[in-house]
Amino acid sequence: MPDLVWFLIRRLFAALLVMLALSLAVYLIFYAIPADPAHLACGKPCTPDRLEQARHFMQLDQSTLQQYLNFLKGIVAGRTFGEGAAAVHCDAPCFGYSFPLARPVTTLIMDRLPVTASIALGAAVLWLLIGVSLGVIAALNRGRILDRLAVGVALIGVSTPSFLLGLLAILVFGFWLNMVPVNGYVPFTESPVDWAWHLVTPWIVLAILQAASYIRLTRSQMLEELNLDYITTARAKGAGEARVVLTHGLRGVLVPVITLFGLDLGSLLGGAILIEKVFSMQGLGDLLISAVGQLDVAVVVGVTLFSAFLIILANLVVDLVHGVLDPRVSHG
Amino acid sequence: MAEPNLNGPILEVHDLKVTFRTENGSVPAVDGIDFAVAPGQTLAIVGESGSGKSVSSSAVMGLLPSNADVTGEVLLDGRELNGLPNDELRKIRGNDIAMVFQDALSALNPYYSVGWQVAEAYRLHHDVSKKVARSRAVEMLDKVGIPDAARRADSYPHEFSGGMRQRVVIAMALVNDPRVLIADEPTTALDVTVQAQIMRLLDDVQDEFGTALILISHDLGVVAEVADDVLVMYAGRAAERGTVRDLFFRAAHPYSLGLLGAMPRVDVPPKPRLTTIPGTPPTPGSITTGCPFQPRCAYTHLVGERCITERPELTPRPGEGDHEAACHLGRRPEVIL
Repeated sequence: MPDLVWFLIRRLFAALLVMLALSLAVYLIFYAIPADPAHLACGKPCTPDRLEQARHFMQLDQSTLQQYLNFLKGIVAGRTFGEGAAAVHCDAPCFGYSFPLARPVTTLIMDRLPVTASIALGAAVLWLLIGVSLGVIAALNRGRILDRLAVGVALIGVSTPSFLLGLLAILVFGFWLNMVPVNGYVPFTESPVDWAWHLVTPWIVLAILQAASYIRLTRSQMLEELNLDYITTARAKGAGEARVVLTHGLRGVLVPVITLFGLDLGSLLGGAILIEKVFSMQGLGDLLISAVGQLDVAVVVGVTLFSAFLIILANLVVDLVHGVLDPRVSHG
Repeated sequence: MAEPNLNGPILEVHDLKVTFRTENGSVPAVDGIDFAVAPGQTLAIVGESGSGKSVSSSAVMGLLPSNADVTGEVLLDGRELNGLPNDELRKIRGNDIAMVFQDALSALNPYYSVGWQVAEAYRLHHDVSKKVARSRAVEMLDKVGIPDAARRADSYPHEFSGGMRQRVVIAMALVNDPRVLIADEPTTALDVTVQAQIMRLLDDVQDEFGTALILISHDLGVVAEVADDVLVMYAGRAAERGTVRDLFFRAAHPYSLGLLGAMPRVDVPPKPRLTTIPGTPPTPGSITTGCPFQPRCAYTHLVGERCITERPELTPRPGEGDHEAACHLGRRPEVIL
């Protein structure tokens, strides 16, 4: 499939350009903030001498453009801060170095990613299942009680803040009913059962919130789909109602649903800030918020760029899946 | 035209009425029509948009939305279809009665290959493996004239031309050897040359399988070529019915004459403009007394008051067999032009 290969090459090249432009923008924004990360590093009392030393060590004494170029170079070749015994290495791909945490940003992101990914992927499977099935049920029962119920659930889901639902869930299921752990994360590799057990509440909370838009989208798409001529054809062929809806109707519904799903999942993988906070899980969102508090600019830039990368990646995957779902889509 | 059939009709419809329940009350779309078609025969149902011809065929298939009330008899080989549970009807749809739709592009599912769609129609009524169904699908696609059918079966509807798509739809309709084929304006969306090919194809398969064909059309040229019997519908009722020769040589209803007059012809000197029937068809349910065609009729003055007060019923007219027209004007109207 040479068309597809060219499509991928073009899209990856475009993605690279977007990432470059984005990194420059993010870099300029965060390095233009009127605060000096070196101040935090130099300790107290901070003499002008030591401040200058810290600046030099952190390579903050160079021009903004030079710093940006260093950053880009670090991605490819790695970076070394300082000289001699005190030198700090940041291996390629180096997306910056967090002096407050004394770790390369790449390592920090990779340490936190499993937590966020566990939350996001589990919730995503749930909300896709709940959203699409409730949406289909609503469409098939248009105007009747089941439809009203599903639309009502969707309305509540759309308008409830995640921290509120999260805290309520912890209160009810964690404390009152004592059914699930109230916080913490257990790595999958340690104990898959505990892993799932700790994650089930955030999964459900996130799924309820996210499913709302999927219920509405699926419902409206399915109603539109069921009016199409080829649905009548399917009935005229003698297909039963279940087959008409699931085989002939659902396919067209899935195209927009998958688009939304890819983008939602992409942005959620970049950090579910509120959910991670509420459930005390150290994911990417938590890393980002702490970094902002500590003026850890390297981490903020790194996580922001990583999130942006995930969204671009999600877009690309969505486009590829479109080609699979809809034969009319051409990647040529 | 097929040979006259001596057997009884395969599909009979008696006093079919379709009423739609809407927010603004009941709207009658079909108001008591009768027709029948025998194996190997072609019945054309003609009329303007909104005359109820498509609704009638959907009613036969049980494909109307749930807000439609259908009364009357629909007999397939003597078996009553109207009122059958959906599960029973499902077994008949696509198997005994199949349908060809007007716009093949929208009638085919864009997400599945044409081979899959034809095979699906077969598998819905035959307990066979996917492989068997596929080879049956390829066989049908080949039969309807899709070149290189085995390879083209994997193509998607958008990769075909309009005429080829309509052939696919016909293959899908014929895959189960239906006894009745309903073709709802099968050539309207096509080029004139392709129209002729598709009509010839329908004619050929009809000859080969002895299928009864109900052709819904407003193209009298096509009707003249392929139909045995014609039912002219106006405002949900039968205006005239008879053999194709009755209609073309002995039309007794002013509306039929209007349709014939509006047909472009090559065998008479061209008129500067095509004749049209003045006015527009009535909206369903708006005519309650008198003749529904009266407001547009050029012959009302020959009859007078009755056209407004009394609804004409079908009455026998001279012709071959059962020629009938619903018009108060007893004799054949002189063409006023």
